[in-house]
Amino acid sequence: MSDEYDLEDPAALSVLEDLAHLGGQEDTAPVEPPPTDAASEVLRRLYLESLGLLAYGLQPVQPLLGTRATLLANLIGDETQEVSPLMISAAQATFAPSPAPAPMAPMAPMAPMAPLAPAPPGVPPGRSEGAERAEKPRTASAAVPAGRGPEAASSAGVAHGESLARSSTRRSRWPAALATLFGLAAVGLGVWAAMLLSEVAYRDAQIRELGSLQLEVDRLRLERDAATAELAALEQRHSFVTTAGATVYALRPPAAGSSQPLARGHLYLSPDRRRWQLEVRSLKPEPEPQDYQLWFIVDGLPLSGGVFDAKAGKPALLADDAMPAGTTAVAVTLERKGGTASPTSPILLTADSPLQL
Amino acid sequence: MAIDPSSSTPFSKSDDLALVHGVLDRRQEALAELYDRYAPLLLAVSRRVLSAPAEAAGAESVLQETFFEVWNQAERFDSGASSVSAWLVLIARDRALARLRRRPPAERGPAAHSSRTALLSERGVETLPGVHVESRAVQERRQRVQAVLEALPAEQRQALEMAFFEGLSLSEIAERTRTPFDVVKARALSAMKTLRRDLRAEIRELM
Repeated sequence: MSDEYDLEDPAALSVLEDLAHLGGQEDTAPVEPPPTDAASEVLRRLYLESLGLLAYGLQPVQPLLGTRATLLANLIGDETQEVSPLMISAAQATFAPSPAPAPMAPMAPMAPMAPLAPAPPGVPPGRSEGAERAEKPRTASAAVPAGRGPEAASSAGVAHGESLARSSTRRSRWPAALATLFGLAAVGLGVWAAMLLSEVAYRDAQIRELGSLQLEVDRLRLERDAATAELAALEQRHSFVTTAGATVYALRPPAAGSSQPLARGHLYLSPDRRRWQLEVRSLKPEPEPQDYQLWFIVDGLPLSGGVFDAKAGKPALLADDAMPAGTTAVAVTLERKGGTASPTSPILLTADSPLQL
Repeated sequence: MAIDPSSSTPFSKSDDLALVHGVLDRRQEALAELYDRYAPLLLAVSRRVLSAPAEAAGAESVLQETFFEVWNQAERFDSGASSVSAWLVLIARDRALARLRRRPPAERGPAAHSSRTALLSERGVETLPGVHVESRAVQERRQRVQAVLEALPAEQRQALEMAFFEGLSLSEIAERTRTPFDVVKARALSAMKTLRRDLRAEIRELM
């Protein structure tokens, strides 16, 4: 399809100009093109994809481990509400690897997650305490990861080990002048032992930390495996969508107008033109007792493709293995529950012909 | 926790699409999988947009914002308008540009950064081996795209990159580079054509 459109075309140029302006404005959907005809939609998409590829021209940057952990932790903690910026950076500091928690912590006041979550008027005390707690270990003992639960205890252990080592060093100074060689060696051994003790405590803390990370990794791995199995099933169902030669009908409200002008849909059709999958977005949940019904138009006559429900905020999906031969167009109407033999209400979505991809 | 890098998983958009559906179903594993697939790519984008080393932490923050947006607004994704990959890249770019524009102009250059944050960016990042691994398909796509980009004449590549990473319009690019508008337009178009010609397979794969 990439050969069907002329890049010198004025439409191409306007798309290019639009793209330069895409983004940067808060509160606007990043990829919400103004309504256009099907051809410039395909063209626009081509541009988006080729520009999207520019990102692959960059060397990838591995994110900090804490970024992922914080992200997931906040999803677990809060399903629907937006996340306070302070909470994120506090958690980030807690998760940040031990050698440099510093640069993350000051993010809190400097870098709010502004567009996502308008900063709450008053930050609950618990959260700011979290941020402070994340700051503390730097002054206490830079080597120890920020304390959480059991780690807090071990961090105290290390601090103790260090002070033990320090006091032994102090003691070792003044007797040194009088001590025999043997005495010196004994004190030296004592210092060494104390240092080893603190080393052991430090390693213990690290091992505990790694142990809990390992548990987390195992848990996530289990979840991942479950998700992978599910995805494999999903993927099987969706596989034909990617096949070369697949056909896509872009469903839009009829030009004459519709009670649901925001609804959009796509019907993907396998190359053998039998398996199909419908995905509809922004249809209002159907009033009871009614259903949305899909129609295949064959020789100007509608044949039912099945009924489906719409839920707010989710695409409605419908799929089957048999599209009637000779289908030229598709349409969606609202019908009584369970569907009817032929449509009885105005068309909400329709596509007269497929986009050739 | 990404895809096993040793197995060359064929990259398919339906796979990504299924993950977006997973996110719509509030499945955190689906978001985690998307993250593992695309975080290094998206972090590179937000670093490039923010450019100043002082923004290394800011770039991570943009990465989080990007995935929070995916989590909270996945219903905005329109499989008819773009691939999941391009959608994610555009959100990350958008968020990074928004952040850049919130910064006072004086701090936007590379000059303004403290030694401490510079250290963070030099040190790069700590990664447990095997934790965030891009799929081989993403890596291979990167190699092919880089080869094509490197072959572009420098000024053409610059025009594309300024439009994409700095959010400049063609006339703004003309101003910045002190080049006539028509020349900039021709360069951008020419670069687009080359990308389209040489990366046809990649684009098709995504679309």
